[in-house]
Amino acid sequence: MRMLVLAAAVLAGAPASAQSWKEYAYPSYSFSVSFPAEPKIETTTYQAAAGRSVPARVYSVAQAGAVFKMTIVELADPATDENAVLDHAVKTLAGNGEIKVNIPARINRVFGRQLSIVGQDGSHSTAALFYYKGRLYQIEGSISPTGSDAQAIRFQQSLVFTGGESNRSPDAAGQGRRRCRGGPDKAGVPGSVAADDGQSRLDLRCRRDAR
Amino acid sequence: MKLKALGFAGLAVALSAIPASAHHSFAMFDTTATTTLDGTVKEFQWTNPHSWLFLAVADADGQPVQWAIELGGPGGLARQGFAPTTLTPGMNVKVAIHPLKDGTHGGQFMGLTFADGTQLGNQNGRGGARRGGDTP
Repeated sequence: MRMLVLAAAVLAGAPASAQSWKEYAYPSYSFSVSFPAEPKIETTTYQAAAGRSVPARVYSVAQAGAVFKMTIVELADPATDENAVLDHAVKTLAGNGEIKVNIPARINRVFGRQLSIVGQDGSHSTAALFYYKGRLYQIEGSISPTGSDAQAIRFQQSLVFTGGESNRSPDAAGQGRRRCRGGPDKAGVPGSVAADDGQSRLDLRCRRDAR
Repeated sequence: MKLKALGFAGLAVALSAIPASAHHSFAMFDTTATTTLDGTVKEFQWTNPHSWLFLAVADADGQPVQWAIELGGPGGLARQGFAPTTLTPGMNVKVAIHPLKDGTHGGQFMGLTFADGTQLGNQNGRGGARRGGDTP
């Protein structure tokens, strides 16, 4: 009975105010992302490293003070180096702006980078980059100097990779799982990891109820 | 300004600390810091993979600034006592978060206290403030 109640709660219609944001799924590109309105879809070219122009697909919504953009760049050359792709993408995104944050990121089992960039005009972008299945995935929420960054955060955090695969080898991807099973921290707490401040924190991937 | 940075033990906030699940890493949040936002609900989005709470919080000049607070998915939230209409526009709440490292107006949800003192979430410390790590 409890499960039925929970299921009903989960499936209950969202409040009307949430209807503006919807999840848009693109299975042929192995991702889904939420936009505040139906995105415009365009094909364009992307200037990759070494001056190469490659095809790209852009999904975007522009609203007052904000632009939400998802770019998929075709970089299927087997010789492509992930780090080189991401480094170039970071530089391109940043332009003349200042990179405030550039940290490793993971969505599902796809690893990449997350950025926060402040433009010279005071604009702000929150973005993430992933090289996966021969494509560069670039999600970016940009706001004007007077805009609200809350919606950009909402957008950038909505990316989901739906392919079920990883851009890491099984060994590398499994290191986290092994840590949960057999890697207690100094305090002897299974599933904990040492954070940068030296304290132990439970790695959420080790929670049994984590999705 | 109603924005306060408080230690975990100093505030009677339900540390339901609903995680953003394994959907993505938590490296963008400063898990060493806890910030309490005292504001008014603008919108509560009951969505997958994360639900979102948009909160209007007064800045130093008394002007409302919108904050985006990331919660877990509806399944996990329902287990914690949330429902799609738990939070409605206009409600005054205090929300504890791990703030974003870049200083923008967002954070990872930790706990919630309603104006009448009611708290949401797990009281026994599961999913407490000290969660997640900086590693993806």
